[in-house]
Amino acid sequence: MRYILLSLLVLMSAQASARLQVGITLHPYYSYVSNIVGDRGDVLPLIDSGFNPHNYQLNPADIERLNSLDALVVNGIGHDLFATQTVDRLQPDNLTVIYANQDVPLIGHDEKVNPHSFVSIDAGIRQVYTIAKALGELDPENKVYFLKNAMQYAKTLRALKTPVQEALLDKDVSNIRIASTHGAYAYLLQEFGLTVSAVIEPAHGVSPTASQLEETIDTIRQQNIDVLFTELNMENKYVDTIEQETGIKVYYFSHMTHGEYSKDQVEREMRSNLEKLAEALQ
Amino acid sequence: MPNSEIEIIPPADGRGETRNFLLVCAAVVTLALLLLSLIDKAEAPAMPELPTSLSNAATQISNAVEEITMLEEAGLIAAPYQLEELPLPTIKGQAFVQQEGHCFSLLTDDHQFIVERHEEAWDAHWTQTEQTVDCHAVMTWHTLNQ
Repeated sequence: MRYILLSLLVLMSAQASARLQVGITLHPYYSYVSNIVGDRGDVLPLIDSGFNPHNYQLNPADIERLNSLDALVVNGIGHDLFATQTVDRLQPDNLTVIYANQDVPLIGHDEKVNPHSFVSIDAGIRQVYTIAKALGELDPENKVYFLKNAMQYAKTLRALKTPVQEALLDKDVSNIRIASTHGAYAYLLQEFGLTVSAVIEPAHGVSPTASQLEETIDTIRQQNIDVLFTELNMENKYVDTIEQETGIKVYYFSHMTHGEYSKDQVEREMRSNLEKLAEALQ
Repeated sequence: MPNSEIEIIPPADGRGETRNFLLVCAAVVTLALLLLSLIDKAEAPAMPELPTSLSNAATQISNAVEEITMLEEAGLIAAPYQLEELPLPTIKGQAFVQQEGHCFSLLTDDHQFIVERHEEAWDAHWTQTEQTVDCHAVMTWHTLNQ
């Protein structure tokens, strides 16, 4: 009996060590990878939730975690420099870095690429496929399972577009003028033929100066901008000033990089974003 | 009075030094220009970029290529390919058309996208053109994420 139990324990630990250990740098990648690997891999955030990825510095414990991973999924185009710079410097053995955006046709160019491709359905799906293929190469036995899950997840994400597509039926989107606090929603809006006429923040989380704010208010008035999309979970007091001065309608969108890591975060928060977008377009 | 030879040293007028200095300056400037021209020539020609307004179209097409590949690997589609079997997107009201057995194209906003089955795999490219061109037309074709 004792031998049987021991054999079972050895077998279970061997199986656990055989499971892919996949690190991620940002919340959306937790959802993507969790939906791809299902119960055949472990998804490990490189940093705890609650830290701002724009100014985080990896500590020794993070680096130790990095060394225990089979793969690390990164945005790689500017939203997780804290990880990519360290990985480039340390080049940990046996770590495969998966650049989720390697196949995404990006908005912007050179150093001015917009890194918010995860606040999007189509660009998100593109990343899901890139990650699934790369994980399939690392774990060929589960390749078909990963790809099947990726396709199923893509179908789920695409279905979220329906409320906005219905709101846009027979609507001329060229008349709709939109402003946003920063460039996070460019990919998402482009999926519906919408473009951002004015971006308010000089950089993510950086409040505009008094003169920049005045200029923004003038732009909103001159261009007859209808709606302003701003970020949930970030205090933007100047948005209230803009709302009071211009009478513009303000909608709060999720940037999807806050809160606890969860498998359904992208699905849940994207659904909410798209419902708000549909409401804004009515 | 002893007969002695007096060496007369002409005072330096500085012309030689000035000439040498100018020659060195000219050499340095020439070398710098030469190096700059070499660096300039070595730079790769600027890659044409897909307009931002078409980046979502390119993303949807790229997703479709992955899905077609997966469907084929799963045995759900096979040659001869039919347009209606492939999950190709409609972009700005324009649908893909089948040019030949293995090539499908879509023209929108003076850019043509093609999705093509090569011997090894499916892939997609784009080119700038005002009218539909053949998949094998001698044009500059770019991959989608350039």
